[in-house]
Amino acid sequence: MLRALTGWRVAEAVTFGGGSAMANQAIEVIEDADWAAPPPRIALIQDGSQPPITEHLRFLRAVRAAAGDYAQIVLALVGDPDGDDPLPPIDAFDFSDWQRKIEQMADPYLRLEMLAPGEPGAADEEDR
Amino acid sequence: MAADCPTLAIMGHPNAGKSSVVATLTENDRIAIDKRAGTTTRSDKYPVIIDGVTIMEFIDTPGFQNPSDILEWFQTHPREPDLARAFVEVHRGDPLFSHDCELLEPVADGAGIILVVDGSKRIKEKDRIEMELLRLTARPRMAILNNLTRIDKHMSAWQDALNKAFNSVREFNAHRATYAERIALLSALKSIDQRWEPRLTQVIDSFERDWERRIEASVDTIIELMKRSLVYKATRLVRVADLETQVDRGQVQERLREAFMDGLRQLEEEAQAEVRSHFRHNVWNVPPDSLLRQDLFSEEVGEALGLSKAKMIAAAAAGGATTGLGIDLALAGGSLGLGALIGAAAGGTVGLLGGAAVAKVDIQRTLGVERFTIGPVTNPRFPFILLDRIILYCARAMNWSHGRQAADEENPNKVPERDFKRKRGFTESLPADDRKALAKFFEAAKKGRDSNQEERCRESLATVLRGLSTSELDDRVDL
Repeated sequence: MLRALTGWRVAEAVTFGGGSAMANQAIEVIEDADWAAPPPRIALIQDGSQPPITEHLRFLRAVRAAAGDYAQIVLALVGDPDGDDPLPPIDAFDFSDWQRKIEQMADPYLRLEMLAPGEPGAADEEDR
Repeated sequence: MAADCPTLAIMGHPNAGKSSVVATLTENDRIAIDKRAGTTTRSDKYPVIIDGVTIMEFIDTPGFQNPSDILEWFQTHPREPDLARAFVEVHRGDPLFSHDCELLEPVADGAGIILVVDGSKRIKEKDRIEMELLRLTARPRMAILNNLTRIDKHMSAWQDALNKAFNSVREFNAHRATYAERIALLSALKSIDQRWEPRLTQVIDSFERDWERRIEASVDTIIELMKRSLVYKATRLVRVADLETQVDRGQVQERLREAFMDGLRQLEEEAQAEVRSHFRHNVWNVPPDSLLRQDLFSEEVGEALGLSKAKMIAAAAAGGATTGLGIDLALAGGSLGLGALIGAAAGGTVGLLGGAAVAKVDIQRTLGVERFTIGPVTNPRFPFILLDRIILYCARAMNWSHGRQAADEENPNKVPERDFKRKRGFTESLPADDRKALAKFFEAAKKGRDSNQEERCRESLATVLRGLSTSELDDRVDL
């Protein structure tokens, strides 16, 4: 699903979102990565059913700082997991909440996307 | 927190419905509520004032912005006796935590906590973090499951998780909560801190007395509407020279009939405005698809409200209408007075009255002018329809949550929903003796007389309004 969205091959996946230790670990992976074909390309899969808060935006800035100014970052939003469907599409209204916040970041290499439904997805991933 | 004035901070994730909860609990429909997240950016105090005295205070806070950081800070400072106060003091000058300090400040000052969560969604990691950090504040705390949708499959998981960290957990739909549900929520607050119990008992007593006053005021409004409507007349003087043909006379009658109906509509609108004021609605009015938006004299209203034919005949007979419904078809115009009665015709027939006239036109000629008068209302169904309409309006006003501005109207109307056997208007469901008392009261009102049935009618109306506010009576949500 992610490949269909970005065309990128997933090289490594780490989890974030559980607290500062988890976030720092993800940032370290980005910092230590040996990018085979720069610029770095990072896909973040995020539950968009809750509105963006400062913690989310700080993590995005930390990813940007670790990956460099020209790294391509895709923030792929999914909806609230529902029964057998762990990656349902995000509600359009929730997406617009995120869109507003991401636009305020004025980051030209940060792209916000809806992760299309259908195939079973992976956890939070990054490509290198 | 001042011991004699319970103060509660409404907290939660952005977009959980905190402002809607505050608006509904404080009956303040001017609180900014937006479906978009992050509408509330600072803590605002909303006092509950009854008889000029602040009896309780709610504080609408911004959503958590850095819950993980707050929790981690709390966990790394276990020796702090007051974590909320300590966190605010350390982070007050840090713009990154400005919202978090804003929302923790009332807790630092001693406020109790009401956590609002969106029960329609699965519990997320951030939700668990917020529950835990609020538990660590050690303040009295209640959680509200604010489910604004039909999705209830996550509710039991929420209940289980919240029970572990909160003194009390309540389901509360801020967009649909009725008066009874607000009182139940306030009663539950007693259990989160025993020290509040005496004061909260007073608060609930004050609420109940205030509500009773509103019901009495609404009954006054209804009785006044009925009295004014039933003596209402419209009159027009026309020079005989201007009435050359029957067509001219017919046009005068038609305009007069319209003026008469407009006058009655105006009286109803004034009564509705009073009811809105009684129930503190500044913004709300009935939705476009409501029967209340249909014209008072429309067929739809006539079919849905008022008494059925059989009950109408019984009530009309009791009220003194010697020929029951048949009286409407007779020509009126008995007031010869100083002028000569030159003709009288039934007022325009309108749908609600099943083809019968709402009132009669009386035409008198004197000193070169013809005096056209229509009214007062003669049709015995009309007062019951008007009464049903204003009761329906009261039902909507008293049960319309002040936090409903951003509500999805497709969602359930109340929590909990109750099934009622469908009936038509409210008066149709009254005991026969009450209907007869109303008919007698209406007959007296038409003549401008006081009625010995008025007190009984007042009691009967107050009982209906009380039943509607406690959901014991069906509020005809489909009308």
